[in-house]
Amino acid sequence: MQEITSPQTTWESHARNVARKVNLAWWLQRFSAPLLLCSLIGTGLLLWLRRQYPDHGLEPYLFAAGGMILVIAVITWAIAQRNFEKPEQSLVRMEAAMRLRSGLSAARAGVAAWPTPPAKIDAGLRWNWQRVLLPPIAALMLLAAGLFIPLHRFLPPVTPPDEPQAWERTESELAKLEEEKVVDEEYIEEVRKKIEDLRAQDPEEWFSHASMEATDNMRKEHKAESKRLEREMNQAAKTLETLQQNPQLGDKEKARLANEFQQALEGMKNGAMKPNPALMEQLKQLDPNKLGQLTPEQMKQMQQNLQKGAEQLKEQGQGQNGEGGQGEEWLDELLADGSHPGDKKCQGEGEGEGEKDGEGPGKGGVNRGPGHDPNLLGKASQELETGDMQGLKATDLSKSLPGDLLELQDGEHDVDKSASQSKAGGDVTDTGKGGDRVWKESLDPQEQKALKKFFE
Amino acid sequence: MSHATETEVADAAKHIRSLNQALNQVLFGQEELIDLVITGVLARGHILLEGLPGLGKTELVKGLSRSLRLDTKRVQFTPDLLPGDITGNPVLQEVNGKREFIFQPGPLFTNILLADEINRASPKTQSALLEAMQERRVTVLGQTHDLPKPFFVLATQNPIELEGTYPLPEAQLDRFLFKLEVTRNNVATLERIVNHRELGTDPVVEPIMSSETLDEVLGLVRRIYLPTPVANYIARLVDATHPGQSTASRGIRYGASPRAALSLASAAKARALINERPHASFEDVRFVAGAVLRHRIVLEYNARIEGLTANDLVRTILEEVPFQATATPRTMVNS
Repeated sequence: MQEITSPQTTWESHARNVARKVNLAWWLQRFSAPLLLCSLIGTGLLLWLRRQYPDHGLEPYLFAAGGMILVIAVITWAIAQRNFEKPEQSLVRMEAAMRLRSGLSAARAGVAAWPTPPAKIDAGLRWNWQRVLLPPIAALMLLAAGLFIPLHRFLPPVTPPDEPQAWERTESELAKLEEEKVVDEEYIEEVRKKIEDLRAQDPEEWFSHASMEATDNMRKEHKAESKRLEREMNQAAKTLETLQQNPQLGDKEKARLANEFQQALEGMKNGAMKPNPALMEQLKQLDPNKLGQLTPEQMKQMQQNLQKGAEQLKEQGQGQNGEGGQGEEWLDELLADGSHPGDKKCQGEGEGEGEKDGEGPGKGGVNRGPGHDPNLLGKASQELETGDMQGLKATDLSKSLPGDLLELQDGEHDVDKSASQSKAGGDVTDTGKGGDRVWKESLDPQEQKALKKFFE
Repeated sequence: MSHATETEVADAAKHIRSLNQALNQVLFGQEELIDLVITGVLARGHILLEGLPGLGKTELVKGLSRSLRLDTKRVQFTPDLLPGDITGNPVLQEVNGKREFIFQPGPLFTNILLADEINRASPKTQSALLEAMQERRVTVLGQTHDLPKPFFVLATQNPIELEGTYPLPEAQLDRFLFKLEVTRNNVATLERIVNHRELGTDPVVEPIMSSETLDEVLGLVRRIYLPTPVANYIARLVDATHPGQSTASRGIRYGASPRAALSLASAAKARALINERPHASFEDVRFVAGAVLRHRIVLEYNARIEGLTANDLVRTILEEVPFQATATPRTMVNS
């Protein structure tokens, strides 16, 4: 049974509904902008957090996003309350929309009777769906993007690579040369400039093929120059030493020594790496043909200077030779049984006479040399005969198969000995004759070979 | 003061309907004008009628006075009319052997004063009407004389032939409840006039209500309930006429006064009574807003140059100001 309600109850009930609807609309209006803004910021934050802490699950982020929305909702509700409408204000909205000529306000004031409610009571308001739905949907999509977009793990910032060691090593050698004043400054500056030029490249290019090649060239040149100067200085010092120790040499011998000194001097002058200017000046003032006229003290002094320079260069050269230490493991591996010439195992002296051939070099005797280590050139390889099978030893096990064998065969190249004939110009392919044309033109080389073999 | 009841309103409405019918027999084809004139009278307001000569302004006023059985006087305003000519003058007379100044009331002392072509009188004479219109009394030589009740001024002015005229000052215009524009008649109305009227003869108008009945009806208008939302609407309307308070007010230099708001309320009540309602409504306010506001707002020079009139601006304000005071959120639209 339908309950009969008075017009007043009906109107007031509708007024309350309208007020609720309008208040919800006010809240949605206040809620939209902060929600969108916070979602935008939250999305960025979520992406950053997920990248920083990839091991955390989605749950904490979901709770955080939900919490953020809840907080915004509560704050905006409090703000929207300033605009909230009371039911009596909704009555005015209804009487204005329904053209009731203030009948509801008058009835509420008790001046007139409540109008009979029509079948449809309308406050003249409808939702603006575009404004209602777009901001929350956009916010949810943003947050979903922040939560579910796949991300790479956070990688620490890329540090520029260390520069090639060869540059540093060369620079330290140059510094040492400069400190000991063995060679000309001009050369040192020139090599330093080359290093600086290489260093000025993009760090990513430091280890490029071209850069490494240029570095290698520079190193080789530097080594070669050091060696050359050392040799020239040694030669000059040796000449002076001979002259000093043997003052009664014949003219012919003296001329030969003068010539050798002259050549060493020329070598020092013309090379890229020159001795230090003071020594060079001393040497220049010397007349090679009057070397014998130098006092023994002068000669000794000169010889000591040259000797010292050569020794310093030699020290550098030794340092350079040692540089391969770490990079030459391959050589160690190749000589895995310790048969390297410098190996301790080979340097000890044997006690007594061995019955078998010793492993180390011989000690030498009165009429023979000390001999050399039989494994001086590395481990002696097995002798292989034709048809022998040899197991392949793989260094990279990931790319090898067990039982890979290598066989030495006595074979001959597969040469087509069929007669050839002259061809007309431009006809560069032999298409064969008669039936040959078919298989020569349509089969691939392996098929051709199989066919040829079958008919042989 | 108790509010008017529906029964009282229904009784009064009968008289008003009769009055309306009578006036419609005097002036053909001017139903809205007659409605507004009756509204103005019920609201105890003075009315300024503006229109070309021969449109029936004077006839309407005469018909109104006859139907209400009220004393009517007509003054043709001219530039040489003096204040004393309308208020009255003290005249030296011998009474009981003594000479004294005896006040001789002027044409103001009537129930309905027809001030024809009011803008032809000098400002001094126009000003003499100010006190009479506002306070319904006249002061001459220090003596104040009350005017008879009810007292209405129905003035006319011609919108053309403005040479030698004195436009009414704002203060005086503000004292008119309505400014009504009398428009020309269409062909059908003209034909009806030709068929039913004869030049030089007045239409016959039967008295509709006595002065006592009129007093009762006027008293009832005051008791018509003005709902708070309607009062708020009136306040917002008047506020919107001031520069900066609405979009339409950009063309207005000076807005309407609080007297305009009172006039709107009073006229809306009268309108509610005419429509047999014991309470005023938004629609009543909207109906009388043009007549109440159009002469109370001063237009900007630029608006005049653009061809805007006060009527245009009032219409825009009415469209701009919603009935309900509460705003509608942007997430909703008015259907």
